Amino acid sequence: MIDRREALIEMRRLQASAAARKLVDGLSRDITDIAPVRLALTSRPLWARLTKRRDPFKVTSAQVEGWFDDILAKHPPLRIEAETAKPQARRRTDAAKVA
Amino acid sequence: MTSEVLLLNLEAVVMAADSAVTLSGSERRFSQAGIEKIYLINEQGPVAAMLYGGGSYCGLPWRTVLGQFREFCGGDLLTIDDYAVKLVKYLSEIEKHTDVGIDQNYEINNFNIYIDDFVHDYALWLLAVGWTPGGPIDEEKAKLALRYYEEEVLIDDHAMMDEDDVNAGPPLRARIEPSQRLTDLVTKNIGPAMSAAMGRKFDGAAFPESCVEPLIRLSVASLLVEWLPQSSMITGLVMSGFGRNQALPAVYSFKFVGAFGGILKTRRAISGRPKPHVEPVIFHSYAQDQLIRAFVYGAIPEYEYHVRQATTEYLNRILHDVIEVVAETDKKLAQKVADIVDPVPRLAPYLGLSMAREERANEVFQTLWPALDSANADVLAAHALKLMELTVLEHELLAEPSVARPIWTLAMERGRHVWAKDGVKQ
Repeated sequence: MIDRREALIEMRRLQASAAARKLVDGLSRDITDIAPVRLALTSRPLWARLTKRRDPFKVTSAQVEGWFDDILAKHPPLRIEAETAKPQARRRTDAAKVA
Repeated sequence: MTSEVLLLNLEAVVMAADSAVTLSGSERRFSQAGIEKIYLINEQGPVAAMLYGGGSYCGLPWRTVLGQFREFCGGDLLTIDDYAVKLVKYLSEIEKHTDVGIDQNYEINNFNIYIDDFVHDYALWLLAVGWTPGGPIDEEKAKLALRYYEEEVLIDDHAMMDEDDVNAGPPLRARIEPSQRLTDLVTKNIGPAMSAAMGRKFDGAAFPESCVEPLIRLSVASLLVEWLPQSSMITGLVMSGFGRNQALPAVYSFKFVGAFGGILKTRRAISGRPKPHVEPVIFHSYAQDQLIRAFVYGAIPEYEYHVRQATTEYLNRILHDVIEVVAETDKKLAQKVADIVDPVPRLAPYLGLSMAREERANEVFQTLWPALDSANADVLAAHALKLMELTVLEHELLAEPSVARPIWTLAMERGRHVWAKDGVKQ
């Protein structure tokens, strides 16, 4: 049975990647390319044209800690268990078949 | 470029790799043979590591990095799990373990590259929801793209679920622990890194202010979860063999981008061991493995991509015309038809290709699986060599030197290992 959400996301990826080829051709993928950086430093900064800000984006350590805490509270810790993992639970669809 | 194969059964492990390396400069790019991609970590086990993607780490050859890691671990055999944990930690703080003078800027360079790739992937979602490059990014599209991106970053689509989990919500990706070093690095650098990356990727197009902080927040959250941008230059490491006190071999493989702030951004690829009756064979191929995939699934990934694109676009066009014709006489009926056929252009090619892949894979594995299941290390090595020949021959026929001989195989049984070069034992 096809997971519809998975199929939709996959298609969005495909659509995006086709259009992205055109986009990427026109943009630097090399962050050592100094042209955009020089432009940002010496003339009207690119970031300033993004929004109406006068300063570059800034965050505080309290914000970063808060965002990290949110992830720590919600997400399970990473465990490396190649040898000791219990037999994996079946996917929902498989479990239904077994039942 | 690289092509590699990993085969495990209940008594043996074989790693096989070509020996081409591709060197990319600012203008020239060329490949040459003669590079090793498989390294023994411990001879007692034995335990070995195989690499693809990046040819070096922090400017050091992998032979140097893993040679020093081997010394770091000492002579005693550890479990595969312990080796994997130690290696991730070792790579995370490589500057503590070597005195060869690693460029001190590596950390900030890696961080900037990661953020650049993060924003690049967001730009892909913007394109997917209808943004036209060069034009302003409207708030509705920016928010929708952010919602899809957040799902991709935080939700683990491949997580295995218990029946009890049905009402527990979507499974979230595993995460690592942050450190003060990471917090400091992020606080200092995320603003400039995001400003530069967004300026570069959106090419100065107007971006809604209301989405700036949520995007930065997601980029920071992404640092802790087991996820990597699709557009990153990724290195893969496969560690396998016979760990301490383990009767069966095991494998732990992961993909990663460079380290910064004391973390190595990783994503697990495989983690496990063969299981009697349930899964007695593990077979994986890596990197430039198109023809191996074609052998198993009936088509190379690029072929499937074109089938999907062409079929979807054709169905979209035809169904759009049908709905237009119906709408000329009955708009309500046209809307009903549109609702019914909406998923067809996306799902039809997906369904067809999935069925075709499954049929081919069943046919292959009915023969290949029992053969791999019952093989000793030598026979398993012969199978791995044949699979590698598929991709090497393809590259030879197309005069593409990015995958090339000699093919090295490392066959491992408990307490014994054998190297072979193009099938000749060394």
